[in-house]
Amino acid sequence: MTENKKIKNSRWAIVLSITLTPVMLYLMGLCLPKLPYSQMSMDAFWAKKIANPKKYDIIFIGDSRIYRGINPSIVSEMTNASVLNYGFSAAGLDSIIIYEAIKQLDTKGKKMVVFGISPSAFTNEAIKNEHFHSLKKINNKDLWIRKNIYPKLTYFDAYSLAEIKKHLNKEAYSQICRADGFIESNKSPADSNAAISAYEDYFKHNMISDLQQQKFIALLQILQTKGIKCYAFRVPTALPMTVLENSVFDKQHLKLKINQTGAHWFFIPQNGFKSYDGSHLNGASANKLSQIVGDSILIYH
Amino acid sequence: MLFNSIPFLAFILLFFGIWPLVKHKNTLKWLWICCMSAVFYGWWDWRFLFLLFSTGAIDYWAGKFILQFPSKKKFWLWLSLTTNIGSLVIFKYSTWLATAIDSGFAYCNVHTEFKNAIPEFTLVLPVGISFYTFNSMSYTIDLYRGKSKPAENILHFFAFISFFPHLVAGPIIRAKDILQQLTKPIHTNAVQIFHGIKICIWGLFQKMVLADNIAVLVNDQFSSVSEHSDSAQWWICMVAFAFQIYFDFNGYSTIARGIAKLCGIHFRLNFNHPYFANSFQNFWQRWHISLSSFFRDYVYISLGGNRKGKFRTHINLWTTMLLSGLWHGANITFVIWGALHAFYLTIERLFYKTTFKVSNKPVQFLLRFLFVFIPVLVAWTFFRSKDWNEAITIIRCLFSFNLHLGLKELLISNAIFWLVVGVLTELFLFYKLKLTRSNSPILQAVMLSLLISIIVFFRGPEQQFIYFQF
Repeated sequence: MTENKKIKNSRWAIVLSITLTPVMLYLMGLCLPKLPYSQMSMDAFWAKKIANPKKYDIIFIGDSRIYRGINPSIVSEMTNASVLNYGFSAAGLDSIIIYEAIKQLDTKGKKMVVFGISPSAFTNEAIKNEHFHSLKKINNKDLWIRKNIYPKLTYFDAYSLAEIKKHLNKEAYSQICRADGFIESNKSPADSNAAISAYEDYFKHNMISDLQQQKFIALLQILQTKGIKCYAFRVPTALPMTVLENSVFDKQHLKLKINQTGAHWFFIPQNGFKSYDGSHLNGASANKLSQIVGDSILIYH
Repeated sequence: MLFNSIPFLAFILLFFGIWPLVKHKNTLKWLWICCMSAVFYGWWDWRFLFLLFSTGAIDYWAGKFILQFPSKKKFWLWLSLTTNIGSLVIFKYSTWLATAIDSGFAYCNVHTEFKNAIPEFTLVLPVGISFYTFNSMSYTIDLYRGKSKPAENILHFFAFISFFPHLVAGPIIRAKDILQQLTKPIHTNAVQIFHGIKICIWGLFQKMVLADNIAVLVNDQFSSVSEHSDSAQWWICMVAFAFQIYFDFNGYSTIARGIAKLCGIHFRLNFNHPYFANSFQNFWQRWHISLSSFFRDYVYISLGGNRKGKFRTHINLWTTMLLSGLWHGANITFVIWGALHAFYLTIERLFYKTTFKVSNKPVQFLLRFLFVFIPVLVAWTFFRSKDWNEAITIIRCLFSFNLHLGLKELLISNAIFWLVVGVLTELFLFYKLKLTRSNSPILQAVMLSLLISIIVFFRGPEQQFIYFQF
């Protein structure tokens, strides 16, 4: 082939590639199954949560059971207050995360903090707060991109073969991210034993620390001296999980200590909720829990 | 700024939007490269631009004085080497050295706190410091040896040193290779541009689809290192890591080559199917070629190479490989990685002729492949592990042959699928096979747009380029 012919061919190939690529992207996007949740929306959600400039009256602090289990819009409607869900994956209740959370309290507002207690929040592993710190490390430029660009690119969400397989098997894990920090989650088919073995393994290697509980209690006292009203409750989960966690965690002792600081412990029935994976509540149960917690806030406020 | 990020997409569109207007204008071309490279580097942390340009300025003037004052050229060379190696020691090795000194004194029951005395600013490792200091040093060493011509002015030198495709993760380029190309008028035709685009897309595929998907398996396995793990799982994991690091780094180098090609500049190949090497020496001729040739030319040969007898050859080899290991990071695991490769090369030099004769028969090819690949995997264990204990635990698992046969889930995972695709593409490229002999522009455009779509929809969870940490 002559040099001129090669150049001509390459020119055509460049023009055709530029034209064909958007068409191919669009067609492939159409052919691939619709994902039950968008990873780019999730990334945007976390970026907004970690760099949220707004102030709130009530803040919920806890782990994934909180951000999947408390719907702030319900609590907000019941209490007529602005509410934020400040839950992070595998979060431990240490001073860093708690002080970060209270920065978002409106100093002229109701100044309430509600702690969702999971026993694992007091292990040394959870206190590392790896998810929270990994988000904190993201620089401002990347945060801006995640918050502002990612939500516009959800058509280009990445697929894994496992997700396609799940789609073919009609398995769906839907996660709808809300601006107030709540993720409404549902899974089909639900399996209320799915997480048990992982938690059994977790508690084999991670003891619940008395020291971390003492530090938490001390923090509660400090917060109250600053005029912040503190509440706590144990986040309900699946029954087998509650049994497992009761075997390693003394709830009554913690409840007593919390009440002694002047904070209030909400009684939440541990049954009557549905978990889709044995640890987290599904969307309907999260709404139910939010109503109960909202009622409790009204009672104690 | 990562090559696979949205800011880089905007950056590259801006760069090539202006490039055709400036590439024929001498001063503007250099200025544009310098300014955009500064933006590229400063996007990560603009404060370290000062380090990049100050060490670069010292090297430029040292190079100038080497030629102007030949009687004192040794002094100027030492100044350049001290500046570059000094900045590497301060920013990369100071914590490690201080910890080692503290531990040494603690062993003698003397309490020291050198680690706490280290200034805070040195705790941040400037991205790409290992690469740009080596680029810069190659300039002054080549001038000292009379093997290269000096840069015409400081702008030319900064354009060479900071040229963004190679700035933060290589390939390490020689001044003599790049300055000449940059000085000549740049002519790029459609063939080169299309070739450059294809190379970039292929590099992105290697990084974003192959390396990042495989990384999920490797990271998962390394997150729970236990002595009771399954041997087979660890062998699979180490094979996966071998290909992850290859696709990750080769992907980056390939994108860098593609971008340079779009600018009309040629970078040498940095990887040449290293896992198909038929000896350890051959492996190092194929793996991270720009670094291994740097160490060969500036360390091994400077020490005397193989010209001073067999024993000295082995000493030189070990010194070079240990330094190469240390170049990767301030951790004993990298030094052991280098030492293992030195050991393999020594054994090979001593016994190679009696083990395998060169032949292309399939059985011998397979044996030679295993003879190289398995020890390379063992060495990668140290490279990937966070410390000595973790590496030893994994090595024990690998050779305990403790099989639980719980591999079904692992073998049907997403990562394994992309690992198989990666290995097949490697075989395909190694044997120079072609899907079609047709050069039809339509077919090429369809293939390219299909590859772009695969990158977009099947990219793995975003991971930083492994070599950024070096």
